[in-house]
Amino acid sequence: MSSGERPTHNRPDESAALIQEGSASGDNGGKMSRQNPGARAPRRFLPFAVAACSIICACVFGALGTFVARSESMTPAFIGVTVLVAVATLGGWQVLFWRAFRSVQVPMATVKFKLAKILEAQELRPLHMKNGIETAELIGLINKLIETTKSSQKSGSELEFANKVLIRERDRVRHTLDSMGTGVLAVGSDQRLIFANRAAEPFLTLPAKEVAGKWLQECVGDQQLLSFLTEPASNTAGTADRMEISPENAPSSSVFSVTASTIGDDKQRVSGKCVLFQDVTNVKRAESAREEFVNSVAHELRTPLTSIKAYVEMLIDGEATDGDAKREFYNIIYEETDRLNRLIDNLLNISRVEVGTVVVNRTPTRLKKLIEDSASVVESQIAKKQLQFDIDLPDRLPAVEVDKDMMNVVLVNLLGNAVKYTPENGRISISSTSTAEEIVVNVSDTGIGIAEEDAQRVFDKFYRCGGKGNDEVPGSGLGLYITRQIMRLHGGDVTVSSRLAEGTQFSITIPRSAVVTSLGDYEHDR
Amino acid sequence: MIAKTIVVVDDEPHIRHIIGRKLQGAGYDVRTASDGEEGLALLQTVRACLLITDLQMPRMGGFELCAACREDPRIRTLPIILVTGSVVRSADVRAKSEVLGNIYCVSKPFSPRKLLQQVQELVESETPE
Repeated sequence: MSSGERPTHNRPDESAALIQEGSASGDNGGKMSRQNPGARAPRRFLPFAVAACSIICACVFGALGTFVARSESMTPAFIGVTVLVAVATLGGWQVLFWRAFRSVQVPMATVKFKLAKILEAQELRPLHMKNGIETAELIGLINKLIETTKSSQKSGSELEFANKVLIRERDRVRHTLDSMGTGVLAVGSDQRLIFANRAAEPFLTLPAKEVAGKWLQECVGDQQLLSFLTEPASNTAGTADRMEISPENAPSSSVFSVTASTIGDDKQRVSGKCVLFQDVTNVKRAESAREEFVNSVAHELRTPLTSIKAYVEMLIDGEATDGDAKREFYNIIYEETDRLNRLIDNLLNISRVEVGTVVVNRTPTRLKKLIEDSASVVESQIAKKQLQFDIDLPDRLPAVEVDKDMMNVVLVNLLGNAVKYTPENGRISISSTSTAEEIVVNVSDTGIGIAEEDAQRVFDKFYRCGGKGNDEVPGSGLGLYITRQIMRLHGGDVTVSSRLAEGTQFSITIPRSAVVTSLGDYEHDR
Repeated sequence: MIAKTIVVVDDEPHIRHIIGRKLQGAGYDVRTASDGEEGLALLQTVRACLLITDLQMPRMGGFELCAACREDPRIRTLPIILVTGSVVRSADVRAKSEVLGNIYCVSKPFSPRKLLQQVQELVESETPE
């Protein structure tokens, strides 16, 4: 790294020192020291000057000695001068060697000491010292090494930080995907799994955390799903294939929609598949219920329509020759028209209840009068079958806040059923009892009764009891369903108890909270 | 000449009455039952040349009755007219009928006149001269 690329977070003094020392001793350090020796240069060159003088003196002395030896005339003065010159020469050499030794030894010791301090403190700082020309390059190189190490350390910590961020983000994505109810699976083009979340585990033979990098064949047990996943991906990124599957280790009725979308890279090249497993059990159930409802409605509407059409056609064709036959045909057409009308009413009531648009218009209502009014609706049918009809109500039956029209539907449904399923000369009765929590109205008959298995389902939509006698009675299987819905809208309920061939009792319960404690305006409305 | 027997199975008494009256008027011997179980029991006791059954009935429905017929060697090839008021499953009904074989679907509301024509065609084609 050049000095210009140094990080900006260095302290200014350090940076300045580094730049100065680095430039003085770095790539062009030697050149700088030769070009600009500075103010200390005469001092540095003094030992060398002394040494040079001593050597010159020694040379002069040697030459002089040679000359004297040839002349053979040695005087004491000459000997003294010679000794003096010899001493001066030796001193010069000593100074020369001492300075040379000190100029290397002192900076080296300083460098050693500072490096030891750096190691001890484990803090990389550049060396600041008055380096001589001998050690300038060394100091520069050491500082450069320190700087490079610091940069590497910084890069390392940056990488570590980036790695931590990546791990945190990866965990966050995994936790988010694990919290999803939809199973997610990523498969590479090489048929190896990249990722699976927890919701995808029912479709895997291994825990979701262990599938990364494994072959599809190792992780997916269901052959149908496996062949779907191993199908070659479409060449266009973003396209999707779909299938439905019931996983082996899920409840038998569970249905999952499996959607495989191709994963594309930046250049829209397909690099794998992203597979989603969505639980569509409830959607399927709703679809099935809707289909069942439409089917049942169609059947119930077409049955009376078939009778009407057929009897009219036979009348047109003149198949009813006598008056009795004609009367019978007309009566059937009339009854079947009524049946159609009731069915349509029931369907409308169901629609209102189920859609939630029904408004319970609660008004204070005398329960006794409500029962008597409802009974009058079925009076003619009771008389036709010569049934005994008993109304056994207490004298002081309270007034209740209910939707009068809805309660009328409930009572007419129950009384109508009692009439329909009770053979001629049978008995129907209506009675009431009260408890601390509720008021109970019972509609009983001595009819054909309901089998135990049917009794549990009579309140289901479109359910009709099988068995002897039931098939003779036309009906849609909606009346009791609507009865229960209406009673529940009032905070009450309807229950049934029955014995085959002995009779049936339906009981509706109205909560005490619906009882009108103060008649108030009710007395005037009556 | 002995009248050919046709079994009519329907939980609706009026439908049984209409079909019975129309077929009896054409000279057929008509036996009726109100659900699949009763109809199957009736088929064991009479030598029927045709079965007319409703699809939706309590206890045993029309398809169950057809399947039971196909398992009984005596009535395995008995022609069946399946009367259905179903709308959403008409394709499903026809597909299942094809699987069981020799089943003809009639939709409600049907014309007794046309039903009689279809019965006559079927009985004549099925009965060897």
